[in-house]
Amino acid sequence: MNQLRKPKRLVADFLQRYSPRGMLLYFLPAALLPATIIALGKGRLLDILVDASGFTLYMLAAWCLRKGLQAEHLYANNRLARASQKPLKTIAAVIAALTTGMVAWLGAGHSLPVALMFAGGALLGMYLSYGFDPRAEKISIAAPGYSGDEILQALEDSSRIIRRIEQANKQIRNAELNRRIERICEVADSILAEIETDPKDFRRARKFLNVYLDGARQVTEGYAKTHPQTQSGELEQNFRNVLDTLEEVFQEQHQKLLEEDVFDLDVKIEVLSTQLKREGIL
Amino acid sequence: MPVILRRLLGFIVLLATIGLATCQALVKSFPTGADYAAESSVTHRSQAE
Repeated sequence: MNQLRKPKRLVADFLQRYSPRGMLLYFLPAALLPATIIALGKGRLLDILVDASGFTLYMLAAWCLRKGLQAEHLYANNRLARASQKPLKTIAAVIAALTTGMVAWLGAGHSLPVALMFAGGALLGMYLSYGFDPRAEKISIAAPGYSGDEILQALEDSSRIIRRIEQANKQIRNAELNRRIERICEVADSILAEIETDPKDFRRARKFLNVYLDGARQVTEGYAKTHPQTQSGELEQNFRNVLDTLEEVFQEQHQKLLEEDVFDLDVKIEVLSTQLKREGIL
Repeated sequence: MPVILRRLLGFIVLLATIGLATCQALVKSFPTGADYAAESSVTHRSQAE
């Protein structure tokens, strides 16, 4: 098999999810918890409200910041990417700044101008530590006849379909079939990576994305659902045949994208399309 | 400015603002001398009665 581009972004996404970056904001306002409890013990309503709402708002800011950092990571690692629709890091910085101002003014008892300086300092600290959100779109490169937005949407949809195939694969209790489905998903991922690298490939891969990937999902999900109820050898054999076909067409698609050779791909796709229809999958 | 330096500066500024404001709010919530005085006067009054 030719060189498969294992999508590094899946590993990177996993690491990013567990990255400690942005966790500081969860721990910095920890002092507000005992402050709330003490204020509660002393029955000071204003202090209770300020400390408890301050703590809650900091947690909200920390959550927004983490989500914003994850969105930024995806944006930085994909050649085609939309800027995040909500500027989460900026929202987090504004919430943290306003909350700091409120805590300094009403909680710590500083004057309003000093509290405003605290707020400004927190905003500056957030900017220096985490920056604000990227706003520029990275989808200027497009294939002839397709906008960057269309390509991006198709890639996102296709990636979602591949994840669904992987989910269905987990329900199938057959090591051999599992391996084959994993291989199909790897090839599909590498096809998406190829398109991402060179969006001009999108025109050629469009039918694959629209028809075969979804066909693979349907058949895998269908088999995952039915095979525990019926231990039919015929069903398993049919599924194996379909996997053969899918593996072949996926690898062929990948190969064609690498070779930039299209002369008979459409014909083969038609043949395979007919076969899948005959099997009752499409 | 190198990224690491910028982040370090940001960390210090965050610590100095959010950390300080929240710790001061905590310190302010501790019982003060005036609270003890008020509490002891209430105790003395109730004992005298």
